[in-house]
Amino acid sequence: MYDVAIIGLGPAGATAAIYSARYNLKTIVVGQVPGGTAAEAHKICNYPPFAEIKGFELAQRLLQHVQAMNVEVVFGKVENIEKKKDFFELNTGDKKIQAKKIVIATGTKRKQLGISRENEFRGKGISYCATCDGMFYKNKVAGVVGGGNAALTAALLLSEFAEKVYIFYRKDKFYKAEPAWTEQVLKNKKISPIFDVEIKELIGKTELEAVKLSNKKEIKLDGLFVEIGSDPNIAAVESLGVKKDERGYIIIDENCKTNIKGVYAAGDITNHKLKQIVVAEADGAVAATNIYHELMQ
Amino acid sequence: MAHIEVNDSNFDKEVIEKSKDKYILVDFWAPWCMPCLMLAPNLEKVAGEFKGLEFVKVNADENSKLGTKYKIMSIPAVKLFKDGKVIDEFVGSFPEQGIRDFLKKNIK
Ligand SMILES: Cc1cc2nc3c(=O)[nH]c(=O)nc-3n(C[C@H](O)[C@H](O)[C@H](O)COP(=O)(O)OP(=O)(O)OC[C@H]3O[C@@H](n4cnc5c(N)ncnc54)[C@H](O)[C@@H]3O)c2cc1C
Repeated sequence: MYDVAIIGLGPAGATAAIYSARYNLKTIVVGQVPGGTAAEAHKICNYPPFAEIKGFELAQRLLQHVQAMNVEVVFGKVENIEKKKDFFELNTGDKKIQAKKIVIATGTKRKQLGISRENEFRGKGISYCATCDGMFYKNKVAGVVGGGNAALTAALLLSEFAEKVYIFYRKDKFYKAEPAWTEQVLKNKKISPIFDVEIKELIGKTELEAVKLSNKKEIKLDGLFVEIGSDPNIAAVESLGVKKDERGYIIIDENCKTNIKGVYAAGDITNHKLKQIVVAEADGAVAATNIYHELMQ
Repeated sequence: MAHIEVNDSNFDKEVIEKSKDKYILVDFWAPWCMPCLMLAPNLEKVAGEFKGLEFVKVNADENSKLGTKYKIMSIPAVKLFKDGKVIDEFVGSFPEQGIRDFLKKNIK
């Protein structure tokens, strides 16, 4: 029986694991991708004291930090969680893990466009990770759908390789992005933002060749990066009955507690407005500390 | 199961030629792609369960000729070769069981 089981190995889960280990709690963390979505960030420039760090490097350091602690790390997926009398049982498919307290730090997953042929063109022009795939667009034409930070940083990264980068956004301005990114995008000669449009159709024989926009225009391109936001990774914990807000994010109090005793949540999966690394890590620390206090009582 | 790193210059010998006698599972990856790093050990492990199958890796960053030839646009990209040709493929992270099902479906 573990004191704490943490689901997710992004910034929130990793930090919860590190704090939990430092409180000498018997800790296990199950996660699919070390660093979580942060591993996919091109450049991170708002995570002090790193003036600039690549998401991939941050992810590696997070994992090394966790592995240096007295924590059991399992690379895998929690399928579901059952609440027993005074503990929880996590099912990973080939393993059952029992723990007194749990921290849900499952973060988010990319939204899909939800239009026809999107899955067919996946890997054949449609991509959800500019950091992974940007380099395949050397001297090609790429498009990015979306207008938030993730979309603009994807466009900036792509402009390092591609000959031309379109941004397709359904609003008339980049309202949601940090001004620093917006400025860089608007100054960049390779990037052409197209506002007030949606993608209506994906066109191509076996690979993506063009997109049709809501203004009826057809734009030829070699690839399209989908950066239109995220949805919470909630499926595995659904059966616990944690309270969620109207968008499906877990509601927590200032101690990272959910409505269910012994269940904490941290990071992007919660109803925090600001979905950023520093916030996720702070949550992880708060959750582990409160678990420690609860167990000591 | 051990694997070998294949590149632009030895791909024909290690993959195309060898795939005449057996199946070759090729993993196109890059060092900064976290999903690639998570997938590789699973591929290696599951590939070891199949007879007549060899697992090789291609660093897509260093071997752009192969990337272009096989139209790699997203990684991880995994392709199964037989008789010099790609007979099936997938992109993105796959759990162990998914890889097993993919190989079972294709390996006769
Ligand atoms: C392209 C991009 C750029 C970004 N740039 C910045 C930036 O510059 N600065 C910044 O502060 N933030 C940035 N962010 C946001 C930042 O990445 C997130 O706020 C942060 O990663 C949230 O951490 P988290 O641990 O809550 O969730 P995540 O990072 O999403 O991690 C969740 C973890 O849970 C795992 N998981 C999910 N479900 C399960 C399950 N059932 N079983 C096991 N494991 C599971 C996932 O695999 C992952 O390991 C960026 C995000 C993106 C996508």
